[in-house]
Amino acid sequence: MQIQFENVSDFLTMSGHGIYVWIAVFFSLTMLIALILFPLYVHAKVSKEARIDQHKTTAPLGGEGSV
Amino acid sequence: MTESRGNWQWLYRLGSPRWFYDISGRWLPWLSALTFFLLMTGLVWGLAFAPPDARQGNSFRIIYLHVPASFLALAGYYIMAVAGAAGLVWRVKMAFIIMKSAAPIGAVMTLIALFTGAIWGKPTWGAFWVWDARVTSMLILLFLYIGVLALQRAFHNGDVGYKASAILALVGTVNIPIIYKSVDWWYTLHQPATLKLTSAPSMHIDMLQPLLVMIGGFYVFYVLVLCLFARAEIVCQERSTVWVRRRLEGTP
Repeated sequence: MQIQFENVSDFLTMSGHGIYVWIAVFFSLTMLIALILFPLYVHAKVSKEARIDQHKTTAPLGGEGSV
Repeated sequence: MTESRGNWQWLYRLGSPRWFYDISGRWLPWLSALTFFLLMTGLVWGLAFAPPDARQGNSFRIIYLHVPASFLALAGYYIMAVAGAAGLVWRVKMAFIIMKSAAPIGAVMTLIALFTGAIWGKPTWGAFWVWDARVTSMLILLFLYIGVLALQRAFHNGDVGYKASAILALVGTVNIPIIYKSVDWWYTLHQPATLKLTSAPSMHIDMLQPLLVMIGGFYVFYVLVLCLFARAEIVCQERSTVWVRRRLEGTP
């Protein structure tokens, strides 16, 4: 097993196919990262809101079982 | 009596958002590390070390994103439909949460498959888009995912939205075997399946190994992101409960 390209520019151009390959890689990785960041953002946002609500209602926390 | 209850306890636990939230929280670091390792290894291996295709040259390297995303687009639909069915039959809250979480992930996977396929089509077929049986049935899959997503949000009563979208997800499963078989049933531009359970892969081993790593990486990634989406949904739904408040305060 060895690297199929002689240098970096050869790796980037991929004998004419580089533009297609790298657009596909860039698009896919952007989408995958977005899939990770979106739920983390929602989680953080809801947690923040819940904490603010909690400070408004000063009711003490009951046992784990009570809702 | 107590013994039979013990046997089924895991099923009751599985249906509990609180149990899922806690156990998935422990999985997240491992899933993240494994995802990163597999995707980076597979990508570098596939892009730099795998030999170029005899006919397609280097453009074939798009396969390392296109095929794993397509796998998860289809497998993710089954996961969504099965979770929807479990929610309808047993009325388990957690099943609907999984169904809801699977919809956006599947939609993005389908989008990646379609987009990378279009990019790959240009140097290979000479066109970004063809109304080919495989491509068209994948586009229908994207619309089904979007339909499930939209239907969940279309009702004021969340429970009705869950049930309606679960039924749409179940009806849509008829499309999945059509996608699988489209390359055999119709004369299409799309090449036949590279990997089949029933026969040897039509690919050289040096090209196949990084593809298998990428498929594994996408599966672990899917589980990771499904957990993240489900956890966000759980916190959203249960934000007023004591246990969520305790988790948010950092006390176990």
